[in-house]
Amino acid sequence: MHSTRSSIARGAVVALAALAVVLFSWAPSALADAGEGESDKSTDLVRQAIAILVNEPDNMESVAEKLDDASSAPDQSGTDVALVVSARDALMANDPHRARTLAEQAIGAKPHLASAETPAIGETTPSSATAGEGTSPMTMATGAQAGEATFPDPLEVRTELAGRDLTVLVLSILVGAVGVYLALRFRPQRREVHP
Amino acid sequence: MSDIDHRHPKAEAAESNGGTHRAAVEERADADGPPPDTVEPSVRAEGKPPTGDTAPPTTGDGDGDKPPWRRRAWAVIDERLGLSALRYPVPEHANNIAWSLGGVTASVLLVLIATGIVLAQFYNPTPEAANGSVRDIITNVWLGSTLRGVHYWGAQAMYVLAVLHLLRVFVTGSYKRPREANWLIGVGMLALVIGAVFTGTVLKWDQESFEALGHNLEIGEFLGGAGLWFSADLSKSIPLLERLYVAHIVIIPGLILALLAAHMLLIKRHGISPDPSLATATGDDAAVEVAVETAEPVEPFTHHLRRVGALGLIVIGVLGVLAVLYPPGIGPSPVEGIEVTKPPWMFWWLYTIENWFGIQAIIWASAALFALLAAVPFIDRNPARSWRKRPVAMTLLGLVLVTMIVFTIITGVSSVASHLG
Repeated sequence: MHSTRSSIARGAVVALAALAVVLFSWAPSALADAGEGESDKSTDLVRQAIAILVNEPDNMESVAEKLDDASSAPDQSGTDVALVVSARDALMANDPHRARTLAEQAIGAKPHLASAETPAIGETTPSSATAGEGTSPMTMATGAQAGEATFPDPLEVRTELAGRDLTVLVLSILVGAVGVYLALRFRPQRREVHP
Repeated sequence: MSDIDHRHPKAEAAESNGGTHRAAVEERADADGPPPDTVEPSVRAEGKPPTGDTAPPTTGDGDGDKPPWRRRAWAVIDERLGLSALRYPVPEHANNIAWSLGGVTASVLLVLIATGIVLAQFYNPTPEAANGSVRDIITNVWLGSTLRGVHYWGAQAMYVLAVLHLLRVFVTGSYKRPREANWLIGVGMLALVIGAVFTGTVLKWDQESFEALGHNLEIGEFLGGAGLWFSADLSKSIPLLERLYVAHIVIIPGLILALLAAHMLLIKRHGISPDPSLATATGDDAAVEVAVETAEPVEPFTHHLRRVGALGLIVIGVLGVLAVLYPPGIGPSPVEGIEVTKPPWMFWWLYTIENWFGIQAIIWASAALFALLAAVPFIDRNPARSWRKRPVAMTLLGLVLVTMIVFTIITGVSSVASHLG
């Protein structure tokens, strides 16, 4: 009986391991294109280029591709194509900061100032009407519109372990230690059961 | 047992075995208060509420040693609030860590509610200002970054604890009769926790959030009329972000609390589920399992609460440390039409499925998982509770877990470009 159970358990482990191998080996070939059709508005494409630049600064290829598409998009209303081309040149010259500034100027978006830039609570970012639907001074975003036209840098929170942070850290450790002490004190005695 | 027989199943089984059994005692106690035989004196004394100052309760924690004024104070409070009703007996194994996971999950829920209330005072749910208001919380609000960090890590802790709790219930067969309904309630609560994580991800309104919202919209569209709530069409003048905010702070927590109340009431009704390892140590007969259960020492439920509270303090300490050492950041405000981020790690297994089969597969995979979870008590007819005697159930669990873990790893090691193709 015991050996039967052991062999079943071994078989189950082998089967699960085989499943894992199959799934892992299937992955590369199965990764498929899930992209959608690209916008024909140069404004949208420049915004996307900026967003990629901000989110993935190492992905220059995608940024350049978006800027290329923007400069040749069928609908170029609200976009200064010359600035888009300049942005692409700056990108090729390995100056992503200038490329971003030019791209933002190309669509009339508010240029970024610094990574620590923090819009005040309640501040809308109207910029120009060319910055996208729902972001004009008179229109608030509705439905699933993104609403914002600025592209602040990602905000990485750094801890210097001083002042309040250090106090919170010490208090947290103390609370955890008290919890450990009480959890040990209140743990069940595991008394023997005699049915 | 007939449909009109409302006796506790454990009590019925215990009585059929003869002798004195805790389950039978509990059943009678429901009607008459605790009998004198089997419950500890400390617990037994709580059967009747004290009347005025003349009948101070014994607490079981050495109340007899407490000064008279404390006993009188307790009597006054207890007469009005009935707190001694919480001292009903539960088996000793309820205080094991594995059996305390549900309680610890609930304690994290309290942390999330408390930190969420504070964060709500500073968060602006309009699309134009949401990202900026989160940055303001991080940089300008006193302890804002830490509070947000506790909320962020607490959400992940609640997800992990809820899943561990579900796994414990599954492995110990605690979903079996008569606890099927409570299993379903628990599965519903897990779905709500995932919904809370999803809506919370959207609220920070960066690129990751917006891409998550895009999935929300696609799923709503795929569901047709049933997906109206998830679509922007339901209320054209209100941004979807604001509706998801309402869901995050009112609808989902409200439903979780309502289900939690039902969950706890059913636990009280059916008792703490048995620990199969105690039974298998002495035999593999179901009757032995009941006998072990009824012979196991009991403790007042308040001891379970204090054990859960102690474990909850540990979790809170860990959350505080994580919030300080690894505070969550925020990405730039979102742009439509690109996919450059991955979702939170809890959704990575679905991300892989989307890559392979398209976005609709997310719905099918999620629906299949939760349908399977909901069906578990009804398709598993094996009466045994020990995992050693349930090879089919354990293999199924292993298959699901391995698949989800592998899919999660695949997304973890793949680039976002793979998602875009």
